Amino acid sequence: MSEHTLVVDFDGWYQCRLSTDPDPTWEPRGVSGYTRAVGYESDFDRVLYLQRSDIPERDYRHGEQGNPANHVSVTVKSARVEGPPCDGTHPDLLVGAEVRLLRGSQFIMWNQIVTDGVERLVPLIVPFEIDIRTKNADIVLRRYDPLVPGEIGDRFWDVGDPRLYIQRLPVDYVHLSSEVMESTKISDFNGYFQMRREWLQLEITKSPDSVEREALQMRLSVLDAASETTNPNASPGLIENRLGLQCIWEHPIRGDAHVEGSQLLGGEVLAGGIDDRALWWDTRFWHGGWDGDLLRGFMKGSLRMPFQVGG
Amino acid sequence: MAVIRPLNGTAICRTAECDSNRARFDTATTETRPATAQINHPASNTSAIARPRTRRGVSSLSARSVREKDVEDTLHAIILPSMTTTIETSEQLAAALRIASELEHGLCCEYLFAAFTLRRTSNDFPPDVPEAERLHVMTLTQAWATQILMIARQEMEHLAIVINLETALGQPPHLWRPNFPVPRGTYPMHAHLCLERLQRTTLDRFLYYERPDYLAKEVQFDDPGCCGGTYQPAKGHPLKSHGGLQFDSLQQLYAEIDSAYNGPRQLPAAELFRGSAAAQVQSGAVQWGNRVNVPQVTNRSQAQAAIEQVVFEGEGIGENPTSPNSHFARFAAILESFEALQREQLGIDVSLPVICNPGAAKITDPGAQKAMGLFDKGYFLMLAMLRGFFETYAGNFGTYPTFEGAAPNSALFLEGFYPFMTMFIRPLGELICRLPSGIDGKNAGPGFNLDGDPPGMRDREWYEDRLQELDRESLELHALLVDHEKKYGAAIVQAAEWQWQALHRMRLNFPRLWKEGVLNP
Repeated sequence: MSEHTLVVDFDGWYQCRLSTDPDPTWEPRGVSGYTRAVGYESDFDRVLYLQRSDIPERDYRHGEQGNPANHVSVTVKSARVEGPPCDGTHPDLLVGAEVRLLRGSQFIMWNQIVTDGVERLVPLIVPFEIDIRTKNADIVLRRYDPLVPGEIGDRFWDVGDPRLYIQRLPVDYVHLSSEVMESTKISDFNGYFQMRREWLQLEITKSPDSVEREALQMRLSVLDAASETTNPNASPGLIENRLGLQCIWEHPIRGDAHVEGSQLLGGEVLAGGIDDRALWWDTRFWHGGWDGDLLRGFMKGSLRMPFQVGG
Repeated sequence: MAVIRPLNGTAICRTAECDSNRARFDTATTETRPATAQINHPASNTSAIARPRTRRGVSSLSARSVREKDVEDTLHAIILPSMTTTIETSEQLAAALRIASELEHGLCCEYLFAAFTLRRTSNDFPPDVPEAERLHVMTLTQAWATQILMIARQEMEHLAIVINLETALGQPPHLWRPNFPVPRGTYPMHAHLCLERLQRTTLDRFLYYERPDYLAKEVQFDDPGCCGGTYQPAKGHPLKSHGGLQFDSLQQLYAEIDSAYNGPRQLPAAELFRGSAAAQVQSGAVQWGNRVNVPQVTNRSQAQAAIEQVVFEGEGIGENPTSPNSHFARFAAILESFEALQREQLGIDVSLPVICNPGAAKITDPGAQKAMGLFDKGYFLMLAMLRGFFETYAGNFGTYPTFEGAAPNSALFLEGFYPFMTMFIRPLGELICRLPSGIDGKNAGPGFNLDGDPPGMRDREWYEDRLQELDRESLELHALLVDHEKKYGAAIVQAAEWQWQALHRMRLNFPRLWKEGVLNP
């Protein structure tokens, strides 16, 4: 029996429709922050959607042609096995597999009451259950991490001390990340939103539907209001600089696991319980490139899973 | 009958060019400039607060200037303010600052209340309203709420500026205000202070409060009583503690306050600035963000600048043309948008049928009773925390975000401002406006009732006991709503659960923040 690590690298754009401070967390359509639910869109649900097919059509926002953020899809870009040489493994079968966060996963900040420390403005992601599956679902790798193992679980509101979930707090927060700019291919933030403005203006003139026109107009107004280039009173970088923002998490995944199709890897992906530290999965990932108009961000990271062959 | 007589083509835009701008405003947000017309001020040699001043870089939106006769009239209004009593002692100044605190605070509550009553989601409309019409109205109310809540936040900023002036004068922060309705006569202004849902007369009232003096003739308000005349407050009596100061507008009040700092009647600097400068809170030091500007006032020119800021942001005084971002201009633009909607004759009421001055009403619905009681207790605690924070602030707030060494003062800051305002007052206030009152098919509303003067700094247990009470009552409210979910609706029940979770977490955070300050894990 030999022990290895299956490493899966993933990236892509996700969508998250959420209100922003100083709106209350459960504000349904956005009023005081820089995000709005507009037109036919449903009320905000704050859920992180990593696949377009999971998003109702009415809630799927569009931007100018050619913008990579138009395509929501976080997928596996590469996979490999680390450890002693072993035959019969086919990690490449995972390339193209879809990545999801299940259980209605959300960014949790709750207007700064659940995190403090170096940055009070960094979010938790709760619940956290990562799911990677090939298109025909013949391989499924899924595992959940409780925020606080034991009775508290994901009840972040039932904790008075963020040290209890310190491992789930972001490990770094970069305001203008070159890694993000390289990954998203967006570095001219003002130009990026100027293109959006022009596209919105054009769409307003083209749309035959008055509700749709008002929705596009609202997006344009919010963009103008939040942008330094069009509003000298806007908070510096409120919308533009978020395109360069990078928030990094690095933590174990310790809870229940579900694995299917591991035979395709020539062995068994291991998943113990909370107490089996050696069998925890690990993930390091970041979100960044946040487009506050499209309500999209870029996610990139890797998942490491202990992997056993033979025996 | 309320009468607003906007100057045609000036205070409220009526031109074709403005119409095209209005479409833009209809979906405007916090910082978007509403389509308010250019108003050219007449020249004047009156006090700095009344004197127009041109600022560079301010956008000049289209419309006509005032006509010559209007210029003459408004000049007259500026030169001859109707003040009969002046500030000549520091006691009188303290009284004037108390009035200013109460008015800023009271207007803030009125504005919040009106915004809470707007129909902003599909659930807020009767089911027979067609989707397209509902969404059209929601787009408008979303934009109006943005503007009104921004104005309310700025009233809080003004309150903080007044508190700094009080601190400089050696006075405690004044966070009490009379309960609603506040009848005309309590203050010299010719209008009641009412909690009323947003309707035409509400906007008339708001414009009256925020009007610049040079438009006193054009913006008249014959107060019909609260809520379009459906509620007549009892006769008001001037508060003796306020020293009998006479004024007919906020601008006049601030002009008089300014005269104590600058000009022939100025008071000695040793009296005006006897308080510790370090005890004044500056927005930069506590990271309120650049949209909140609370400056320190340690000399006459700083005091003058602070007062000018208040009337600049409120009435638009100090700019030529008038600031499109002033409260007055923003309310004028909302009124214009409101009237345009009325002309569409959709027959949709933009606000929920929320009862007038709910704190003075005999609400019978048990869910509403419980929620309103919770709201008032939390509101009182929030004010006590704010007063404790302002009273004990000593300029040693440390560095954001850890505020090292500033506990327990920082605990009051970290609980009293952000989460209490954004995760309690606003969401619970909005939730209550969606509960039945039990009276005539009306909805309930947050009363903003104060049971006495919020106290200054207390020990940790005092705050903890009250947070625990809020936590418990919030949980009870949720349980009550769950038991009657059919009556209250699933969305309300869900919002009540989130409300409890937020309060619960705030309670759990407090002792740690008090003892340790912000963690740096």
